Amino acid sequence: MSKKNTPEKTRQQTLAFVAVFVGFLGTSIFAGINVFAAHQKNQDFSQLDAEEKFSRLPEYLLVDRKLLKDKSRIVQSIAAKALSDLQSKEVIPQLNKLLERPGIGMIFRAESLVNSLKNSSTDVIFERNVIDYDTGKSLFILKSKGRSLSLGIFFDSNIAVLDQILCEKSSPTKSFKDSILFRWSRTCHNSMYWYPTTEFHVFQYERAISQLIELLQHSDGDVRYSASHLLGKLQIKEAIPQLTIALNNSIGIEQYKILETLIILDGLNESQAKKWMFEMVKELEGLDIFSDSDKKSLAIDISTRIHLKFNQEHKVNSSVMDQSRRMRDSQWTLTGFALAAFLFLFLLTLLSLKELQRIVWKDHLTCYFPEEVVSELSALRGELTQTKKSILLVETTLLYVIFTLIWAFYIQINIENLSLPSKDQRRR
Amino acid sequence: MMVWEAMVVPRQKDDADSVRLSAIEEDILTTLLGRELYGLELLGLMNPGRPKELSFGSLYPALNRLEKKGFLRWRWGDEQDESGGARRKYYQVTGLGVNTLSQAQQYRISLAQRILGWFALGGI
Repeated sequence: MSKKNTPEKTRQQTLAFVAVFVGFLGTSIFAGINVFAAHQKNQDFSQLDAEEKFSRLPEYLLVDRKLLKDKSRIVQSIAAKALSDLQSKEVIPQLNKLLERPGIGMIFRAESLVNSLKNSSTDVIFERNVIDYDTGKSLFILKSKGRSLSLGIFFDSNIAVLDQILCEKSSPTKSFKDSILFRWSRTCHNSMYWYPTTEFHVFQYERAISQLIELLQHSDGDVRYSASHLLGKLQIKEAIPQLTIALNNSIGIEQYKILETLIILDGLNESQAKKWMFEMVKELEGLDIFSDSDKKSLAIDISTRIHLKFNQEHKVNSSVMDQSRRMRDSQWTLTGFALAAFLFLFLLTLLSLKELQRIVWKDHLTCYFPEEVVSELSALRGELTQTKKSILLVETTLLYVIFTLIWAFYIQINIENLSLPSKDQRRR
Repeated sequence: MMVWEAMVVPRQKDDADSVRLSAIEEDILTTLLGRELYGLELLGLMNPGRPKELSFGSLYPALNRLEKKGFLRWRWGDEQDESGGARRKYYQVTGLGVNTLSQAQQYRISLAQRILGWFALGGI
């Protein structure tokens, strides 16, 4: 009985092989494009200058929330700055365009904001987020890692501005969270006011800021640090008047330190930084709270700081460049891992398709070589496999033999046949 | 019944060319004397101890030459399971092949004897 494959079977095997090959090709192209696109995207963003970064950050935050999880300190800093943008009305129309349902929009904004907070600092962690779907009101409970201070931040449904803040000096307890949730729920549904209780204190926003500033004078260094950090996170317009008070207690300088760090890390040049700084000074001067000596000392202090910062520009720049290099390296490492994983999967699949490949391999050889050669090659393959050589070695050997046979059958024999007697001549 | 494909009569004008045997051809004819073998078996018998291993790439052109010169004939073997139904060709030396090989070997022997005799007579 003939054991030769029928044409139909051969056709099916060939089709299966082609399908597998096309699948692999598709997967590899898809993976390649993804890796390239991801790399390109990050590269594009990193290559923008600071102002562009700042202006385009909201759209990046909207289109790619992965950016918020970036480990880079630069991106984190930019994300921190974008916090105020997310809270501004300029961003909201974009959100509303993208998200028609206010409730969903609120969730999205809330997530973006919380991600910003989470990523902008390692010292503030997100505790809990609750959203009321009927009213769109949202509650975030944040706390510092030291657990010496907790904040409950409430957002209104349509405008993403800070509404009220709850502060507690001690670590958040279950009763604290429950009380917050209960009161928040009542506020949403019954429009109840907030009242101070013995368990925790409810402040209006300004009072909360004042409370934070007071906490900066606390004897416990941990409390002081947390308050400073949380205050830094609340750099919105409403904080400015309180900042002036803070300046009297040298707290404002801490704020400026944060701003300066952001400027330096964003790669602004000296003139831009100065411009920004002096705009801030002007704004503070406009408040007419400072005495002349205060203004002078403040200006000198800021100038000195900027000067010192830019004297260290080379050092800072090189550290920024190191970070960029590390980012690039990590991207390439990831690409390498992706490729290695792909190759590994490819080899695994090849192994699983070994049998199919063996069958298809012979059918293809039949197209190019005489029957006896196909038979010999199959026998050779069997012998090589039995010697327990590696698959790679066997395939390489066979490939070499096939190439030499192609040469022999298509070139050498044809040339030699020109000078050799043909079959017909021999039979004459 | 076996069907043998073989040369009948070589061309007269190519006689001189036809009787020439290269080293590989001579080795193949020698290996095939008195038996029929397929390609891989031939390589298996010829390669041990050979200064330069013979490969399929040089075996098949040599077999083709020998066949065209009428020194070899072949027949199809049975279908092989391991080769998915492809058949092997079994090669055998023809009478002409045996004669040619014999002539070539006799020439070498006589050449050797002449040279030995020449040395014995004090040549050089």
